[in-house]
Amino acid sequence: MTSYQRFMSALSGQKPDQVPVMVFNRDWAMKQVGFTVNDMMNGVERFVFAQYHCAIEFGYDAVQDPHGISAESEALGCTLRIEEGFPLTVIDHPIRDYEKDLSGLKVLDPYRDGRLPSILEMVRRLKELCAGSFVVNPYIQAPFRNAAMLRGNDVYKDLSRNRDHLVQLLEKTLISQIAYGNALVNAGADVLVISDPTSSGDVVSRAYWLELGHEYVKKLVKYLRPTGVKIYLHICGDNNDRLETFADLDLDGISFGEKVDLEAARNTLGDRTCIIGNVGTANLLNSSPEAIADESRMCIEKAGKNGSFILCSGCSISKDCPPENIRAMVSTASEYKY
Amino acid sequence: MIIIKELEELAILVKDGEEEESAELAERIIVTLEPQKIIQTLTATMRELGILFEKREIFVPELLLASDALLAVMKVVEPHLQQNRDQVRTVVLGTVAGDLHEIGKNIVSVVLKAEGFNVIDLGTNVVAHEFVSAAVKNRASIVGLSTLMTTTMHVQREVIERLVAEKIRERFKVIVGGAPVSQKWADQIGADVYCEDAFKGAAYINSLP
Repeated sequence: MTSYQRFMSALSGQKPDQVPVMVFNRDWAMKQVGFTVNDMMNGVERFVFAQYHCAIEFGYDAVQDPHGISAESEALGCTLRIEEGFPLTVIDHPIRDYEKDLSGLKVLDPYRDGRLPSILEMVRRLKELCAGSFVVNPYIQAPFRNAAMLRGNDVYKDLSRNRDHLVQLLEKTLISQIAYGNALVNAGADVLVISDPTSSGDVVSRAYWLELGHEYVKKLVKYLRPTGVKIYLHICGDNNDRLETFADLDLDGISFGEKVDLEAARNTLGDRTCIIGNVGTANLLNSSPEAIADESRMCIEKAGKNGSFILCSGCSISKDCPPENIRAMVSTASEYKY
Repeated sequence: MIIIKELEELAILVKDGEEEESAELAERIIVTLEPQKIIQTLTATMRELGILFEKREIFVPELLLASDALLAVMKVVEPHLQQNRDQVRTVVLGTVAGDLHEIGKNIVSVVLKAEGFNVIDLGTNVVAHEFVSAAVKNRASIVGLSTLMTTTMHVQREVIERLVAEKIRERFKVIVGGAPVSQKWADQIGADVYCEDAFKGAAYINSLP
């Protein structure tokens, strides 16, 4: 099987030839080929090269658009801090006052706004290079994440104190996410990852997750389904108390952070839901390749013995993650033939 | 009895995150009550919230609202405090350089204030030398380093290396915290302790001789 076939087979709930691997890698791939953050922000071809080169060099199965993660926020009016040596961060939140600011919030035009046209170009180029070999897997923010970036930390207080306005914001962001998701698919995305760290099980209760985070992921998936693209969710934190809530989102897969017990996730979600995870990112930064191989084996034993599983980092890895640790993940996964 | 009832009411208002009502009640009762009694109520309330947070009965949104209410009460009470701040432990606290996440750090700040510590909150994106100079300048005994991201954990190590280089490491207890951080990481970089949340941090500081 090619990497593409292996990954798509697992995401379809089947058994590929062996366990597929992916890594949420943001600026790590850029570092591997010697490019800087500024190179990353200003050069589509450099970015494409970094992603493609690392997939070949390290042997994992999917490429991504790592700085796409903040691009929707920027296109909707957030300011990004772009600084060498540090991850991209949203530093300004345009919806300070719902009464004043919400009506001015536009719906994204992915072909014109902010850096989105260059992200779409990157996805197109990745698809040209990778078609049939590696999976092209860009990011799309979950509506609650998008709302949180626009609103800042106050979004968490809005859950109980400003619910009507928050719902209005989510409805607006949902339309933007649908527009952007369609544009990513048109550009060549094979798989979309909906990213929702803001609904982390460490941060919001099960009730709030169900009422807003979950509700709007479900809506987004529903509206993107007609494109035919495969979709999985990445969610951070301890979600062990709400594993069954991921079953009715109509997702092809779920990527859990390292606090989730993958065995419990497998038992709750059944054999045909692709589970993606969850080698600890701090361990990937600080542990030895042998320890990473052990942790990878444990993940596979818990959730990947019968297919429908992708070995993955629990979240974005540090740019300083030793390359040997990524090799250890890939090499361990390759030992698991189906 | 009326006073006890009002303190109980204040605790409920703070727990429920009722910022304005908490401050109004504090304004009313500070006239007849020792400020220390109100601080004790706030401390007990935050400890109770800590237990609920640990049991996953409340989460960050509830803590943020309660923190706002608590700070509103503190604002009312502080001008009435006669405490000698020299006798209080000083904690220098911040989120390390490269990281702008502040929710966790802010909750730590509020909980430590509720425990009566003198908290110097340096904010987010704080470089190593700023932690060190603030700790020295404020004669702190505790340095708290927060980070939410694997990508910025290394700055926690840099702060400790700087304290060692300046030969003042033993003057401070260094607490590290944040989502990717662990006791293993604390041991690896020479921190004194990893604390999982604000309440464990407060308990650690209270346990110091």
